[in-house]
Amino acid sequence: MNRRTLLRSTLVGAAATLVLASCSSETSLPDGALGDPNNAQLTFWDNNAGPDRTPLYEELIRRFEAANPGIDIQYVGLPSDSAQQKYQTALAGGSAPDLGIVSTAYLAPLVAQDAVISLDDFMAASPQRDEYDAGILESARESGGGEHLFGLPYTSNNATLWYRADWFAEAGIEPPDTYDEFFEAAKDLTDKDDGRYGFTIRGGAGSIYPLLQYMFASTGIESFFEDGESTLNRPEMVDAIERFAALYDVATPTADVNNGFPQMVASFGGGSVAMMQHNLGSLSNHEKALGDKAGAVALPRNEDGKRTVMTDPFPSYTVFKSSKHQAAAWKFLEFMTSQESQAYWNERVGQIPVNKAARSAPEFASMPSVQAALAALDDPKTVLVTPPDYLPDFGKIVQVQMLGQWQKVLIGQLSAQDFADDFAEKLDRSMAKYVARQGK
Amino acid sequence: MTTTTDRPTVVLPEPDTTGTPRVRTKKPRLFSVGLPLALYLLFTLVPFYWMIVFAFRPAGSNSMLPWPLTFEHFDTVWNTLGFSFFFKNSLIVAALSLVLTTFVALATGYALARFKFRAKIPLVMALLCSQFVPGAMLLIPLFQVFREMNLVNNLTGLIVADTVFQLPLAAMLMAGFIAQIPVELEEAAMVDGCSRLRAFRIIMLPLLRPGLIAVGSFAFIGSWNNFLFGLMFISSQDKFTLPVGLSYTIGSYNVDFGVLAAGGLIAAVPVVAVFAVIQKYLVQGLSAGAVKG
Repeated sequence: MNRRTLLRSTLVGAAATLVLASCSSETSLPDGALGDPNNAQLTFWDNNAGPDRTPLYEELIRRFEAANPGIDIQYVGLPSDSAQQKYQTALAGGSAPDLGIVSTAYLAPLVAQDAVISLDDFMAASPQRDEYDAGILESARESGGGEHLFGLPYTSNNATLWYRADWFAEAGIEPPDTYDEFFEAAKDLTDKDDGRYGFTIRGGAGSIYPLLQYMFASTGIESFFEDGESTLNRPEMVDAIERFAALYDVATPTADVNNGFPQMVASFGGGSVAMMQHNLGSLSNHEKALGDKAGAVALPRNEDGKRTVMTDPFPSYTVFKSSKHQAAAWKFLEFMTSQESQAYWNERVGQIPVNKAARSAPEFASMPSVQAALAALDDPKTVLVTPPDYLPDFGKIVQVQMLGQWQKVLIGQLSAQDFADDFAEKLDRSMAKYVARQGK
Repeated sequence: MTTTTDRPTVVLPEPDTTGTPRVRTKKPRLFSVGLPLALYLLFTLVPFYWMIVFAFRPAGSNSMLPWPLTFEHFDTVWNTLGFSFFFKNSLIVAALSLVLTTFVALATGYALARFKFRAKIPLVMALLCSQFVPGAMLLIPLFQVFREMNLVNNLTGLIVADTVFQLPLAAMLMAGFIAQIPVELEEAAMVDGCSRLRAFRIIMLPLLRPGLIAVGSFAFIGSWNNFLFGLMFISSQDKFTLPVGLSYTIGSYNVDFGVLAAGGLIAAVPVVAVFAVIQKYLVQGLSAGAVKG
């Protein structure tokens, strides 16, 4: 082999290597990213495993591993109601996974424990950085405390008003676009003798989040705190609570006071209520029970014509500080939030992709619930309110402490004013603790 | 004044001298026995009825009977959701935990029942007090110990955790069973030339059978149903146990009741079968010592 042939072969080889290298990985990593991005064994925990979602992750993992033969993903599905406890125990025992899905509702404690890494540098170096929905990323930043992105969201699950399209058509009513129309429809569609109610109000487990979503949507108040004080006991809020609670047992079933998500879905799917408020995640339940009789619109507008959307807790991918393979973990996250993976996952669960390019996938066009939520998100008049998940006690206040109080309001043992004052005071106290801790 | 002769003659039944108890031929007491029992059965069996209906009827059906009969939910849980290996894991963990618990409880119970030693009262107190500690509080210390011993994500770790958790109650129960067998029986065997171990093996063990069955079955059921340790100490899907697998069928937005019921039936059947076989020993074992003779 002469020198020229040798040189040519070397150049061709080098070019081929470069092309292959660029094909195998489109990821750009920041300096100092930990571990080999092309060779790792990663443990990945899913916080909401189940027969409907696990196969989707397994398929995406299969695709990722085929494209990245050096990386092996060990998927572990966790039951949704025990996932947080499992994360906390594993952290305390020093056995956290490399990466996992966490809800924004419990991201803050992980951040406070310094258990997860900031993804900002990875994001800044990523070729996909402009494809993500800026509003949702901002909301994720706020949930983690405001400054850094600790969790990469991959789906948005907006509050939705599900309604019986056939009953509305029979009654000649349009699905509500304002809260006045909503209350009117709830009363018009109630026929207690026939066992039909206009609405199902959530009184049992998980009832405070939807209540807050209603409170912000109907009043148009844009933030949980203004001038350092909670807005929850403003007079408009108290009026809104009173009006909502007045529906109970008038336009809703009496049993609602104890009902959580499964009972609410059963009432709606079983044909006893005309409307229910829940996020996009219940689509498959409604499709199974009602088919195309179930319609969906975004939560109604307030009096000013604005739509105020309080975001639901959403799942995010997080990378744990203890992981020795953070570079490979990011590569996996980038794959999972790529246009193709996002469309695949979200169109099967009926939620909104965070990767905006994925939203043009044809399947979304045939989902009224997703279209309604997207229209609300894209509307320039829409205001997004992020719940203060960063407060150390927020989860406890919402999920435990206020639950019994709300049930008392429903059955008339507590006034809306007292409820709102109590709620606001708890949040103010939690905020004071948070500020004190930040100041240290 | 009346005399005794004025009294009407009363014919008393002949006293029963055969030694066998008389059979009472009263009518069944409908309101005092039948109705409460029926209510109790309704309360107990209705959830099972629903479980069977959900497990055997097709998805989306509103039938009150498991008809048209389908096995699709069983196929899903067993073959798709991995209950085949969850079941195997549960069986391994529960069986080995039963053996370990029973063996150690037997030794501890014997020591407590037969020997006098200075630390006996503190030991009994410690065993009793350990019952007040909820399992969740043991998680983190156990996790750290197991991590050092490479027992996290390992069925052996789960067996050890289940055994440790059940041992205090099992040891106390066993001590009670052993205490109510007269020590003279053992002493007589030893006078006849048996060693203590041999006397224990040939005299005590057969007499302890109801106690062993009671303790062993509690250990089996406790381990079979333990969700918390299974969830916390195991992180690979292929090593999950049945209770963890069951909770895995409940998503935050979706509950497939058919699949859940089929999984519940699969988890319940061995327990029911075990109880059906051993229940006479269990009652005998639990009531032993209730009447001192």
